[in-house]
Amino acid sequence: VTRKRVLVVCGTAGITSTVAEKEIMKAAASAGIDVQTIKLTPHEARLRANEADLIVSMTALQGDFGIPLINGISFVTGLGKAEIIKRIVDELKK
Amino acid sequence: MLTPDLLLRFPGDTVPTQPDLLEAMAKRLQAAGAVDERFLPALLEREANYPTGLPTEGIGFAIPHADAGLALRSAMCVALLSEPVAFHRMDCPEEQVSVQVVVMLALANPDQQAQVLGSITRSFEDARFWRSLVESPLSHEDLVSRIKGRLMPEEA
Repeated sequence: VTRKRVLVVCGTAGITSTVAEKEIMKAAASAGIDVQTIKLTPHEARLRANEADLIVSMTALQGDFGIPLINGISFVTGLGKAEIIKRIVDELKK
Repeated sequence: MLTPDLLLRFPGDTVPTQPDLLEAMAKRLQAAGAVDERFLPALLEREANYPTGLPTEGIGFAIPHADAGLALRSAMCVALLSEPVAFHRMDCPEEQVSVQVVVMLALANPDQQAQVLGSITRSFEDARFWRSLVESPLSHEDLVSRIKGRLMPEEA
Protein backbone atom coordinates (compact mmCIF):
# COMPACT_ATOMS: atom_id res chain seq x y z
CA VAL A 1 0.00 0.00 0.00
CA THR A 2 1.39 3.38 -0.95
CA ARG A 3 1.26 6.16 1.55
CA LYS A 4 -0.57 9.27 0.33
CA ARG A 5 0.70 12.69 1.28
CA VAL A 6 -1.61 15.60 1.91
CA LEU A 7 -0.42 19.17 2.31
CA VAL A 8 -2.69 20.98 4.76
CA VAL A 9 -2.35 24.71 4.16
CA CYS A 10 -3.34 27.76 6.17
CA GLY A 11 -1.94 31.24 6.66
CA THR A 12 0.35 30.43 9.55
CA ALA A 13 0.41 26.63 9.28
CA GLY A 14 -0.81 26.17 12.80
CA ILE A 15 -4.34 26.87 13.87
CA THR A 16 -6.88 25.96 11.21
CA SER A 17 -4.58 23.39 9.61
CA THR A 18 -4.49 21.54 12.95
CA VAL A 19 -8.28 21.21 12.91
CA ALA A 20 -8.30 20.02 9.29
CA GLU A 21 -5.36 17.65 9.80
CA LYS A 22 -7.14 15.73 12.58
CA GLU A 23 -10.28 15.37 10.44
CA ILE A 24 -8.35 14.22 7.37
CA MET A 25 -6.43 11.63 9.37
CA LYS A 26 -9.63 10.33 10.94
CA ALA A 27 -11.42 10.11 7.58
CA ALA A 28 -8.46 8.40 5.92
CA ALA A 29 -8.18 5.88 8.76
CA SER A 30 -11.90 5.03 8.44
CA ALA A 31 -11.45 4.54 4.70
CA GLY A 32 -8.37 2.36 5.20
CA ILE A 33 -6.06 4.85 3.49
CA ASP A 34 -2.50 5.28 4.71
CA VAL A 35 -2.00 9.04 4.79
CA GLN A 36 0.66 11.45 5.95
CA THR A 37 -0.34 15.07 6.51
CA ILE A 38 2.05 18.00 6.42
CA LYS A 39 1.01 21.42 7.75
CA LEU A 40 2.34 24.26 5.63
CA THR A 41 1.99 27.93 4.76
CA PRO A 42 0.99 28.81 1.17
CA HIS A 43 4.60 29.65 0.30
CA GLU A 44 5.91 26.33 1.66
CA ALA A 45 3.13 24.48 -0.15
CA ARG A 46 4.32 25.86 -3.47
CA LEU A 47 7.82 24.58 -2.81
CA ARG A 48 6.69 21.12 -1.75
CA ALA A 49 3.66 20.37 -3.95
CA ASN A 50 5.79 17.96 -6.01
CA GLU A 51 6.16 15.72 -2.93
CA ALA A 52 2.43 15.33 -2.35
CA ASP A 53 -0.78 13.86 -3.79
CA LEU A 54 -3.28 16.46 -2.64
CA ILE A 55 -3.55 19.95 -1.15
CA VAL A 56 -6.31 20.87 1.30
CA SER A 57 -6.23 24.60 1.95
CA MET A 58 -8.17 26.76 4.37
CA THR A 59 -6.80 29.91 2.72
CA ALA A 60 -7.08 31.13 -0.86
CA LEU A 61 -4.26 29.81 -3.08
CA GLN A 62 -3.33 31.39 -6.40
CA GLY A 63 -2.33 29.45 -9.49
CA ASP A 64 -1.73 25.83 -10.37
CA PHE A 65 0.14 23.55 -7.98
CA GLY A 66 0.22 20.58 -10.34
CA ILE A 67 -1.77 18.41 -7.89
CA PRO A 68 -5.45 18.49 -6.92
CA LEU A 69 -6.49 21.31 -4.59
CA ILE A 70 -9.52 21.16 -2.29
CA ASN A 71 -10.92 24.14 -0.34
CA GLY A 72 -10.95 23.00 3.29
CA ILE A 73 -12.83 25.94 4.85
CA SER A 74 -15.60 23.47 5.75
CA PHE A 75 -13.31 22.04 8.42
CA VAL A 76 -13.40 25.43 10.14
CA THR A 77 -17.07 26.29 9.60
CA GLY A 78 -18.59 22.81 9.73
CA LEU A 79 -20.77 23.64 6.71
CA GLY A 80 -20.52 21.00 4.01
CA LYS A 81 -17.88 19.04 5.93
CA ALA A 82 -19.21 15.61 4.99
CA GLU A 83 -18.99 16.46 1.27
CA ILE A 84 -15.44 17.75 1.59
CA ILE A 85 -14.36 14.65 3.47
CA LYS A 86 -15.89 12.51 0.73
CA ARG A 87 -14.06 14.47 -1.96
CA ILE A 88 -10.76 14.08 -0.09
CA VAL A 89 -11.23 10.35 0.43
CA ASP A 90 -12.22 9.89 -3.25
CA GLU A 91 -9.14 11.79 -4.34
CA LEU A 92 -6.86 9.75 -2.07
CA LYS A 93 -8.32 6.49 -3.38
CA LYS A 94 -7.23 7.34 -6.93
CA MET B 1 -8.16 29.65 28.78
CA LEU B 2 -11.22 31.92 28.90
CA THR B 3 -11.87 34.15 31.90
CA PRO B 4 -14.41 37.01 32.34
CA ASP B 5 -11.72 39.61 31.55
CA LEU B 6 -11.32 37.93 28.14
CA LEU B 7 -14.93 38.46 27.09
CA LEU B 8 -15.85 41.73 25.39
CA ARG B 9 -19.40 42.81 24.61
CA PHE B 10 -20.28 45.59 22.23
CA PRO B 11 -23.87 46.81 22.43
CA GLY B 12 -25.45 48.27 19.31
CA ASP B 13 -24.37 51.85 19.96
CA THR B 14 -20.68 51.01 20.35
CA VAL B 15 -19.76 49.23 17.11
CA PRO B 16 -15.96 49.34 16.82
CA THR B 17 -13.99 49.44 13.59
CA GLN B 18 -12.21 46.18 12.80
CA PRO B 19 -8.72 47.48 13.76
CA ASP B 20 -10.04 48.97 17.03
CA LEU B 21 -11.79 45.71 17.84
CA LEU B 22 -8.67 43.62 17.17
CA GLU B 23 -6.56 46.01 19.24
CA ALA B 24 -8.99 45.93 22.18
CA MET B 25 -9.01 42.12 22.12
CA ALA B 26 -5.23 41.80 21.80
CA LYS B 27 -4.80 44.20 24.74
CA ARG B 28 -6.99 41.99 26.91
CA LEU B 29 -4.87 38.97 26.02
CA GLN B 30 -1.74 40.98 26.80
CA ALA B 31 -3.15 42.17 30.14
CA ALA B 32 -3.92 38.52 30.94
CA GLY B 33 -0.30 37.58 30.28
CA ALA B 34 -1.14 35.33 27.32
CA VAL B 35 0.77 37.40 24.77
CA ASP B 36 3.22 40.30 24.75
CA GLU B 37 3.47 43.45 22.65
CA ARG B 38 4.62 41.50 19.57
CA PHE B 39 1.22 39.85 19.22
CA LEU B 40 -0.95 42.74 17.96
CA PRO B 41 1.28 43.80 15.01
CA ALA B 42 1.71 40.14 13.99
CA LEU B 43 -2.02 39.58 14.22
CA LEU B 44 -2.87 42.70 12.19
CA GLU B 45 -0.38 41.70 9.52
CA ARG B 46 -1.77 38.21 9.37
CA GLU B 47 -5.36 39.46 9.17
CA ALA B 48 -4.34 41.71 6.25
CA ASN B 49 -2.60 38.88 4.36
CA TYR B 50 -4.69 35.92 5.48
CA PRO B 51 -8.05 37.17 6.74
CA THR B 52 -10.09 35.05 9.14
CA GLY B 53 -13.76 35.80 8.45
CA LEU B 54 -15.71 32.56 8.06
CA PRO B 55 -18.50 31.95 5.54
CA THR B 56 -21.06 30.55 7.99
CA GLU B 57 -24.86 30.74 8.01
CA GLY B 58 -27.08 32.46 10.57
CA ILE B 59 -24.34 34.46 12.28
CA GLY B 60 -20.83 35.45 11.20
CA PHE B 61 -17.59 34.37 12.91
CA ALA B 62 -13.96 35.40 12.66
CA ILE B 63 -10.97 33.72 14.29
CA PRO B 64 -8.11 36.25 14.20
CA HIS B 65 -4.78 34.82 15.34
CA ALA B 66 -1.04 35.06 14.84
CA ASP B 67 1.80 32.56 14.66
CA ALA B 68 1.58 30.01 17.42
CA GLY B 69 5.08 30.95 18.62
CA LEU B 70 3.82 34.34 19.76
CA ALA B 71 1.60 33.03 22.54
CA LEU B 72 3.14 32.92 26.02
CA ARG B 73 0.32 30.69 27.18
CA SER B 74 -2.83 29.45 25.47
CA ALA B 75 -5.86 31.67 25.85
CA MET B 76 -8.74 33.04 23.85
CA CYS B 77 -10.56 36.35 23.84
CA VAL B 78 -14.18 36.39 22.70
CA ALA B 79 -16.03 39.48 21.45
CA LEU B 80 -19.82 39.52 21.02
CA LEU B 81 -21.08 42.29 18.74
CA SER B 82 -24.71 43.42 18.62
CA GLU B 83 -24.01 45.04 15.26
CA PRO B 84 -21.72 43.25 12.79
CA VAL B 85 -18.16 44.22 11.85
CA ALA B 86 -16.95 43.29 8.35
CA PHE B 87 -14.10 40.78 7.98
CA HIS B 88 -12.62 39.47 4.76
CA ARG B 89 -13.21 35.79 4.08
CA MET B 90 -10.51 33.29 4.91
CA ASP B 91 -11.09 31.19 1.79
CA CYS B 92 -11.99 34.05 -0.54
CA PRO B 93 -10.34 37.30 0.64
CA GLU B 94 -11.98 39.48 -2.00
CA GLU B 95 -15.33 38.86 -0.28
CA GLN B 96 -16.45 40.13 3.11
CA VAL B 97 -18.64 38.60 5.79
CA SER B 98 -20.62 40.31 8.56
CA VAL B 99 -19.19 39.11 11.84
CA GLN B 100 -20.86 39.18 15.25
CA VAL B 101 -18.71 36.66 17.10
CA VAL B 102 -14.94 37.07 17.15
CA VAL B 103 -12.78 34.41 18.78
CA MET B 104 -9.18 35.63 19.01
CA LEU B 105 -6.83 32.75 19.58
CA ALA B 106 -3.47 32.78 21.32
CA LEU B 107 -2.32 29.18 21.19
CA ALA B 108 1.11 28.25 22.45
CA ASN B 109 0.88 24.81 20.87
CA PRO B 110 -2.04 24.18 18.48
CA ASP B 111 -1.44 20.42 18.57
CA GLN B 112 -2.00 20.38 22.33
CA GLN B 113 -5.07 22.54 21.90
CA ALA B 114 -6.50 20.49 19.03
CA GLN B 115 -9.47 19.37 21.13
CA VAL B 116 -10.44 22.92 22.10
CA LEU B 117 -9.88 24.07 18.53
CA GLY B 118 -12.15 21.30 17.31
CA SER B 119 -14.92 22.26 19.75
CA ILE B 120 -14.59 25.93 18.77
CA THR B 121 -15.01 25.18 15.08
CA ARG B 122 -17.77 22.65 15.75
CA SER B 123 -19.65 25.27 17.80
CA PHE B 124 -19.79 27.51 14.72
CA GLU B 125 -22.35 25.10 13.26
CA ASP B 126 -24.68 26.11 16.10
CA ALA B 127 -25.63 29.65 15.09
CA ARG B 128 -28.50 29.59 17.55
CA PHE B 129 -26.14 29.10 20.53
CA TRP B 130 -23.93 32.04 19.60
CA ARG B 131 -26.85 34.26 18.60
CA SER B 132 -28.42 33.69 22.02
CA LEU B 133 -25.16 34.85 23.63
CA VAL B 134 -24.88 37.98 21.48
CA GLU B 135 -28.42 38.96 22.46
CA SER B 136 -28.15 37.76 26.06
CA PRO B 137 -28.76 40.01 29.07
CA LEU B 138 -26.78 37.54 31.25
CA SER B 139 -23.85 38.74 33.35
CA HIS B 140 -20.31 38.51 32.03
CA GLU B 141 -19.54 35.62 34.39
CA ASP B 142 -22.61 33.67 33.31
CA LEU B 143 -21.81 34.17 29.64
CA VAL B 144 -18.25 32.99 30.19
CA SER B 145 -19.50 29.84 31.94
CA ARG B 146 -21.88 29.13 29.08
CA ILE B 147 -19.09 29.51 26.52
CA LYS B 148 -16.69 27.42 28.58
CA GLY B 149 -19.35 24.77 29.13
CA ARG B 150 -19.66 24.52 25.38
CA LEU B 151 -16.03 24.77 24.32
CA MET B 152 -14.11 23.38 27.29
CA PRO B 153 -16.49 21.16 29.27
CA GLU B 154 -13.59 19.74 31.28
CA GLU B 155 -12.56 23.22 32.50
CA ALA B 156 -16.03 24.60 33.15
